[in-house]
Amino acid sequence: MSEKQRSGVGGSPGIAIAPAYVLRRERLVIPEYRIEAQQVEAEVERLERAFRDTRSRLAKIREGLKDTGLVGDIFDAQFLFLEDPTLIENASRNVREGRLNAEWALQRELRRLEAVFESMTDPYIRERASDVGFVVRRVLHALMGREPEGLQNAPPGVIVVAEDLSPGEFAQVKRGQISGVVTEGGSRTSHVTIMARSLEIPAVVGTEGGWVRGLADGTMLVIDGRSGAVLIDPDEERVAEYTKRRADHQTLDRQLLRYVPLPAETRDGVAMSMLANVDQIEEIPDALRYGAEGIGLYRTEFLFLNRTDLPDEEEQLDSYRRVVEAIAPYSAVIRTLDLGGEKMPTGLSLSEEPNPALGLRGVRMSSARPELFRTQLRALLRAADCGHVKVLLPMVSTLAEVKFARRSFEEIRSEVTGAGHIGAQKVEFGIMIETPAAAVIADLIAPHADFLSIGTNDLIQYTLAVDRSNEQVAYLYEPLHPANLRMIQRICQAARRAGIVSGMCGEMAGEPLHCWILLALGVGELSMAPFAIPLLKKLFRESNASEARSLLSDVLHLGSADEIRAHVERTMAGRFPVEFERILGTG
Amino acid sequence: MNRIETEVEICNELGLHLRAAAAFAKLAERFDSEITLERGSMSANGKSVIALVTLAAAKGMRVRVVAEGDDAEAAVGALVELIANRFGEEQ
Repeated sequence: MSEKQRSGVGGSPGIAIAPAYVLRRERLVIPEYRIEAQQVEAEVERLERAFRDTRSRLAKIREGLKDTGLVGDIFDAQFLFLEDPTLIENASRNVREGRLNAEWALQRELRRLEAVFESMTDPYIRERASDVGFVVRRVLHALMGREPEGLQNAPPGVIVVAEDLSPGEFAQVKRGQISGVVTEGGSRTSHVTIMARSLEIPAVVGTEGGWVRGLADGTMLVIDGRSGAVLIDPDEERVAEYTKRRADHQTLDRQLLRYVPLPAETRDGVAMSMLANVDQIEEIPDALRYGAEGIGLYRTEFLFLNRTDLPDEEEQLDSYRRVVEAIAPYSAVIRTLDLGGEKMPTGLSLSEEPNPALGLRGVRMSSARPELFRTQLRALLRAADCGHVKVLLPMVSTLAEVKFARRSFEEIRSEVTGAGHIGAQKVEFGIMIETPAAAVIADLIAPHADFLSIGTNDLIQYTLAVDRSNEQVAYLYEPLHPANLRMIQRICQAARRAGIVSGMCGEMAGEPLHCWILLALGVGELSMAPFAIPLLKKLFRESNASEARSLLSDVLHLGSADEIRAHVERTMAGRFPVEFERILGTG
Repeated sequence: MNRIETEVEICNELGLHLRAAAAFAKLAERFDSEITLERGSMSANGKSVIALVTLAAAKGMRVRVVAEGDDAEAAVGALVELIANRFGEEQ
């Protein structure tokens, strides 16, 4: 491998060819010194110039943005603060009267404003302190001749390169804003990957090796989100090769579009519901465009992230209502709050946990903070006046949790129905099966649920005791491990006996290689990143359920994930050479 | 110098939040007069969004629009109308 190439894990498919934008998170050390009287005017001028420079840099980025929606609003608010007389006048006064250097003068004004905002009772206004702080940091960067930081200001079309990205940081990126993502950390199933897939941004993760720090902004990159290749400053020949490959992929994607309006039904008449995982309301039109027949997983954590207060019932209702209306006439499975794990909230004061994946999250948090849970249930049940809502309870490990949640749900349902919201009567209540405990007692849980949904990311992680973001052991994370297949089979049997459907959300559901196995195991609904739907529809429509069942019976007795994977790959590639050449060909 | 002031009640649902403050500052900017918005003992530069937001003027609170300058009368008239019209918001 040449110096100018890195290899990582293919996180989200697609090829991107674009300049790098490196997310740098260095601590800004503000120089503080007193200036002489005769330097004052020059220092004020330096301060004003930094404001002007920041404004014009932001204006340039703003101009390049096609999206005028949410991203535009963020930018407009930044301009307001940059042009605000309070900031610049008070900072200038600090220079003139206190003889402070420009950086110190501005920093002092920021501290003053932060203290003012901090003393306010209105959480919305307290939150503005961070907006002002953000703008001031950009000006401070300009004063010190440093490049500004932050993903929300990534110029359009770039490939974002970072050591790692938090879900909160990624949540600020809108579809179409950037061409690709490369991280040193992360793996096939970390949040970066999952979010990149749902936004259809090509991503390579787990590139390791500390190369990001030394990469210059604007360096040309080619990334292949399938193979995990990253080419740094490639020659023209390589760029041409990848440009052609990118065009080929796009042609294949276009050919798949004719499957969009068709149901995923096998030749021998077994139907699979094809649903979309959705994180942001703006993704719903695209989900429909790819042929989704509903939302199989809508996560509500994002309502609670990047803020200091908690969303009240009305705000939540407004958000859920918009989801439900956008997906109509189909239904939306909305998962109750699953905070904890890697996703740390700012709106909840939680003590730090040594092992958050095994800590206070999901229904455990709901039991610990019942008022939070009840507020969310009320909002969800009221939203059903506008469409079809299904409520999904995450992180269950005991029957008592199921009973507690169902009881709360029914109490609130009768309150809400009594208040005239009759839509609540038809809301289904589902249990997410994502712990081995819940999988093993699925037969006890199913009678209390209207549907089950298998959350494979966590189920696999807990079953195999593998941290999916730990590169040292990531190779052990294997969906086709016999233990996983037996877990899933058990869950589907329990659902069938209770007369309810068992769906699946998580990465495993959207992987074309698994489609026969999941069909044969008895999964009735698959929820995935929308872009994966057309190919899966094609595969199901050209299959027989009987073939899938015979593949399953061939592999269920095999003792290792490797043997199962090899057998499944051989069978699928033999049956669908074109489709799986594309998927397996790079390996 | 001409000094005009008028007291008015904040009647939009969200109070003097970012968008309302921005609308106020933008309108104030059009006048040469010095404009301040006062609530109780606090006062804010009427042309500064940040200062206006820190007044934390919520729905139902009374504020004073003060203008000093040649176009003070027109300024106060326009700004009071903006507040009374809920800053152009729906509610």
